[in-house]
Amino acid sequence: MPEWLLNVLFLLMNGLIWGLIIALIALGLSLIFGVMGIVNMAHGDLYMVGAVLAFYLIPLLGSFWLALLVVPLIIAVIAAPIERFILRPYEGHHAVTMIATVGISFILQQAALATYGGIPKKMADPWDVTFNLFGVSYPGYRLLIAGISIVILAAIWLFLYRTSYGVLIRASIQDKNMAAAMGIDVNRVLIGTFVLGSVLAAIGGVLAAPITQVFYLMGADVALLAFIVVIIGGLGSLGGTLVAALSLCAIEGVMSAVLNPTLSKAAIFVVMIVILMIRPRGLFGEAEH
Amino acid sequence: MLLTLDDVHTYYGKSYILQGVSLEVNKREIVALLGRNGVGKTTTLNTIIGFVKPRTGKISLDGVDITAMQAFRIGRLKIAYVPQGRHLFPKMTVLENLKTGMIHTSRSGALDRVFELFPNIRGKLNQKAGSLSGGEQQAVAISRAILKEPDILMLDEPTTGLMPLFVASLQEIIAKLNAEGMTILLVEERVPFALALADRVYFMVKGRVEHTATREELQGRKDIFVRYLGIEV
Ligand SMILES: Nc1ncnc2c1ncn2[C@@H]1O[C@H](COP(=O)(O)OP(=O)(O)O)[C@@H](O)[C@H]1O
Ligand SMILES: [Mg+2]
Repeated sequence: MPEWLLNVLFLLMNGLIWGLIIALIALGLSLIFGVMGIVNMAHGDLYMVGAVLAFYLIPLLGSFWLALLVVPLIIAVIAAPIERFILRPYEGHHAVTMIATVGISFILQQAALATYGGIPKKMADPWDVTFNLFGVSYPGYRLLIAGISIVILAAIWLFLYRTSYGVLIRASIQDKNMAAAMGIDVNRVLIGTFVLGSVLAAIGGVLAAPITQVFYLMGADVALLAFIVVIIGGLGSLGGTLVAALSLCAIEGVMSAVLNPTLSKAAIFVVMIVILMIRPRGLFGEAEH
Repeated sequence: MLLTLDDVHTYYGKSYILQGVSLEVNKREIVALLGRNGVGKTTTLNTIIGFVKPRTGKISLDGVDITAMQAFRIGRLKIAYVPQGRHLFPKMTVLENLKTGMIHTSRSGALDRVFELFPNIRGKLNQKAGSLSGGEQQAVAISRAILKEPDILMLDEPTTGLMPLFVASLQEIIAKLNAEGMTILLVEERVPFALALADRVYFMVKGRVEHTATREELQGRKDIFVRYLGIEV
């Protein structure tokens, strides 16, 4: 295989693996928006907090798997009161909740700056096994990320579409009043959804920590990408989120072979604009009834 | 007395909609709430079910004061609602819609009972509710409601948009549910439909209940309909 093709292939693989992480994060964003109508400007920062916690906890606990379990619990403990005491009182006031999440975003960033510091740090791969692909070694940890992400995405799909909890959540998304009339405690669905969405962002952070620079502002780029993915994929479409995340990250990855990083990011915006011109509700968005 | 509203006043923001609604529904009765467009019939039902809270007044269901109860807690009581416009969960399948009616009552055989009343929906269980015809949507909305096994069923303009054939069978179904013991509070635009079913009628005018009469008392009293509904029956 010629070297350039090999390069493209590896960039494509890296892109797809990022795409899976972004899909997890975007799914969280999409769930929170779909159920609560909240544009969560702090979503990227929950990803950052997940990564910072992983930075400390993976070495401390001595187990990546344990960290992958503990970080979501910590995030749940942070996210639940945010929903209950900051967002719930302003339920339905979209501008207010959005501004509130901007405030939360600053608080999370400053908290990370004050404790973790302002210097980007790199951590070791938790699984330093390499695989031989086409005669070149490829980090096993990246394949592990892919596997974990796919398992989590599948689990979320099963949860939403194959369990009775999923029925409660989707009913609450579609008609809060009627959901309540059927006896569904919509407030519990709201808090559960916010926690689940936040946890998905944080899991993205844990998975990404070893393959990126852990930095208190690392959430910004990722949040932007997640927003684009949600818009392109079509709100409320799990499949759309996955397809959009994978294809955007693959495009960005491959583009980075020929363009500088800024231009390859710009390429994503061009893709988004073109798609929205053709399909204003996104690739898989459903028309209004 | 199964359901009682005592001097209920409801606002939507600053608009004063229900200006003292009092009414009573006895066990096993079919009660119709009639009135011109915009007098507050839907708001009355929405206030009972808890979608909007009354500013003053008292609502009780089977002896329990539900005035200040959260909507989902009212939703867990033996009351079910088929709202105007049906309000199915449109992106969920018919079966999933029906499952929302069985959250707190799940019992095997419950679905078969629904298929007996509405044989058409059996074949559409995996279809998205939003893609059904008006008549089918109404069937699913009523099925979803009765799967809750309510003592009282509230229906808001159930015949709207139905073909005449469906209207006739809907009338039979409501009568059948009532014969089996279900209490019915019916808001209906088609006066003959309401009169064919109702034991008693309340007439609403501008946010208030102005008159009540039994079916017998309404025999030959065209003047009442002219007075409260502005129509000849
Ligand atoms: N959500 C709302 N906000 C403000 N006003 C409303 C709302 N819903 C209904 N109204 C008003 O309340 C009045 C009563 O409406 P409604 O209860 O739907 O009447 P009906 O069912 O008898 O036709 C109408 O004037 C209507 O415009
Ligand atoms: Mg109405």
